[in-house]
Amino acid sequence: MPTLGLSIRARLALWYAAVFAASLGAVSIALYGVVARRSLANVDASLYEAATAVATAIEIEADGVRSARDVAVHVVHEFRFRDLQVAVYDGATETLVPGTAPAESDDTQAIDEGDVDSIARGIATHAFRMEVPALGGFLSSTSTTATLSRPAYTNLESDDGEVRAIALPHRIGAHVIIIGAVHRLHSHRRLLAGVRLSLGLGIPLLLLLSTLGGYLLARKSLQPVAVMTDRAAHISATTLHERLPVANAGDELGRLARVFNDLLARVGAAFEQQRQFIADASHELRTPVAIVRGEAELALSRDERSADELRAALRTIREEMLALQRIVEDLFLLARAHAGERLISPSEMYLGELCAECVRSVRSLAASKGTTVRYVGGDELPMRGDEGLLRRLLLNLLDNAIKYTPAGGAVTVTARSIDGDAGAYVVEVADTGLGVPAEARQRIFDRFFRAQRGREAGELASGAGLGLSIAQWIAQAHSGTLELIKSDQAGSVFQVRLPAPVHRVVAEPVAVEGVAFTG
Amino acid sequence: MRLLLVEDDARLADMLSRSLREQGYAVDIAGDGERALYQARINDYDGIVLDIGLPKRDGLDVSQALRQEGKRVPILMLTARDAVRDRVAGLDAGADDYVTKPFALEELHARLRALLRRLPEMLPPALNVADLTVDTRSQTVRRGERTIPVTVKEYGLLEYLARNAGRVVGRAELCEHVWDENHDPFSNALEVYINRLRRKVDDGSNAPLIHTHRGAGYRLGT
Repeated sequence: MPTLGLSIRARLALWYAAVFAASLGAVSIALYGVVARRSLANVDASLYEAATAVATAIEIEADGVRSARDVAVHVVHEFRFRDLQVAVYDGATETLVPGTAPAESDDTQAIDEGDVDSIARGIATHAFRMEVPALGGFLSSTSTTATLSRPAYTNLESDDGEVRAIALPHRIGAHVIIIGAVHRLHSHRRLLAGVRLSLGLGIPLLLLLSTLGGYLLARKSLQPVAVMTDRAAHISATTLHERLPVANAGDELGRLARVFNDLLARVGAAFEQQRQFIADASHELRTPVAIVRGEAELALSRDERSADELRAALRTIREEMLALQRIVEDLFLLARAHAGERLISPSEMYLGELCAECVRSVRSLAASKGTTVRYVGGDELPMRGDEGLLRRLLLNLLDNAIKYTPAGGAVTVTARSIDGDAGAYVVEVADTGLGVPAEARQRIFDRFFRAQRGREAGELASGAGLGLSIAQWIAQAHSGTLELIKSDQAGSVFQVRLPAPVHRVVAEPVAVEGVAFTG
Repeated sequence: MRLLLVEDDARLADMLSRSLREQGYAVDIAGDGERALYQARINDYDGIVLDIGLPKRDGLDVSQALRQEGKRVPILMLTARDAVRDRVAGLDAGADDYVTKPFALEELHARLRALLRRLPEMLPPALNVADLTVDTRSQTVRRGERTIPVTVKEYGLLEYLARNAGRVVGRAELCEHVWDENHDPFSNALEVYINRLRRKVDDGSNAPLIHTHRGAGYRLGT
């Protein structure tokens, strides 16, 4: 449906008017037809009544003495009908006995017998002053076609306008006469004209009213839309807590408002999450920046600094810059993962080999804290995955385990293949640390969450409490999972599950391609 | 002037303490909220530099607890969050001022000086005792037209005496406000510094300003 730039309520009103006009038109035509038919039927009924009355009278009057024609003349002359004229046509002699004038007319005038034409003219001399030239023809033609039971009707022209005529054959002995009658159609026409006038005036008026009503109705029912539009136009990033008014919760507009409000709530939550992320990120960046800046300002604040002092300052600055770099890289990774960017580039690799390599690389770090790290598992476990990201995952878990394990503790990494219907690899990183406090377990995978804040945690932290969050994202990006499956005073166990290729010979690329990014 | 620096990030604490010591302050460091409260209760600090994000008890908590205990020590808050509500929360918790990370060391020093001027009553940035001027901004000492070169510790001692000019300041008080917790109260460091200051300030002058009140302490004044 073309909109033509009209508002919905205008279009509704127009459609309403159009449908209403069409149905009004149809009803009017039907009504007019019924009225016209009924009215004509009434005319026909009175014609038939008159004709049968004439026929009955002729039968009664017939005495065998007078000729049928004489009787007919007598009867026809006797009869007085309002708005009616009767005539009798004698089929045998082919002569027409014209009727008299109506009752109120007193200039009864002898009508000569004669040919059809003159008789027809004779009718015109009556008060009716109707001349029906075609009556004779109609009656004579009817004498052959019409039967006694079925009169013929027709419309004929008279000088007084159109008239309705009946031809009713009647048998008197061997004689068949045709009784004719004409009825003026004035009242019929007047009735129809009245009906036409009423319809002609009434329909446009009704249409106007209904269009107006339709418009008002549409406007009233669309009022909530206008209110919602107004309110929605004013909702911006800073006013996401605002909601649309729900006028009537049950109807379509109420549902629309509710759905819109739900959408607003979700957008608001996402917005708040993003805001929180930015606040957390800037918070985490501030401390290293403060140190770098302060260290530099301190070094510059006096002219006479020894080379050792300056070197110490530069060393601190470099270390802080490295920490900053890690945080920034983590943030970028998370932000891009959050944006749904495809970041993993899978290749054929051995998970066991990777585990062993990661354990080797953190061994010296662990030793400096008096912790031992070992790997239990094979070199194999072939799979398809992003080796760089999986290394990051393992190193983050190892960093975390070493960080929270006191001196003398042990960190053990195991990797194995479990046979299920799908087949999976399970890597577990177990430590003998303090365990994660129960209230923190829900949140350890949250970005920026740290179970323990403090100096002792600061030195090894890969950044800003992003390590586990990133590790979990990497596992999920490989269609796997990362969970804390055990945590008590004896230590914690983080478990990574990664899908193993179904056929060990050739890894299916599908295993990693169909990854959903849920960072 | 002795400060308590409460900061959980070891590197930041190290950098800040070095810079504050260079400014002549005696600095103690606390790494968490509980330690900070303990230190603030047993020592009489002239000012506290308090980070908000701390383990165990956060900075707001520490500040509130100190104020409830009636401590009027000036508190300068360090905050990594600069939203208005964070700053308001800090000030409402009893902090006298705040600095947002990352900050310029100069600004931190200036704000600290401003805070320390307020106690016990408003003091000018430059303290004058007779013709002796102790400028807290540049940490310089002048007597008349003569500039007196002093070390950081000497300056700290002289500034504390100048703040309390005319009053006899006890030995214990001086040790507590000029040295940090690592100072051995039984050493004769105070006497050594007083003698050095006396040489620098009063030598060549016929009106000595540093007076020893035997058994009571020292007084700066005419």
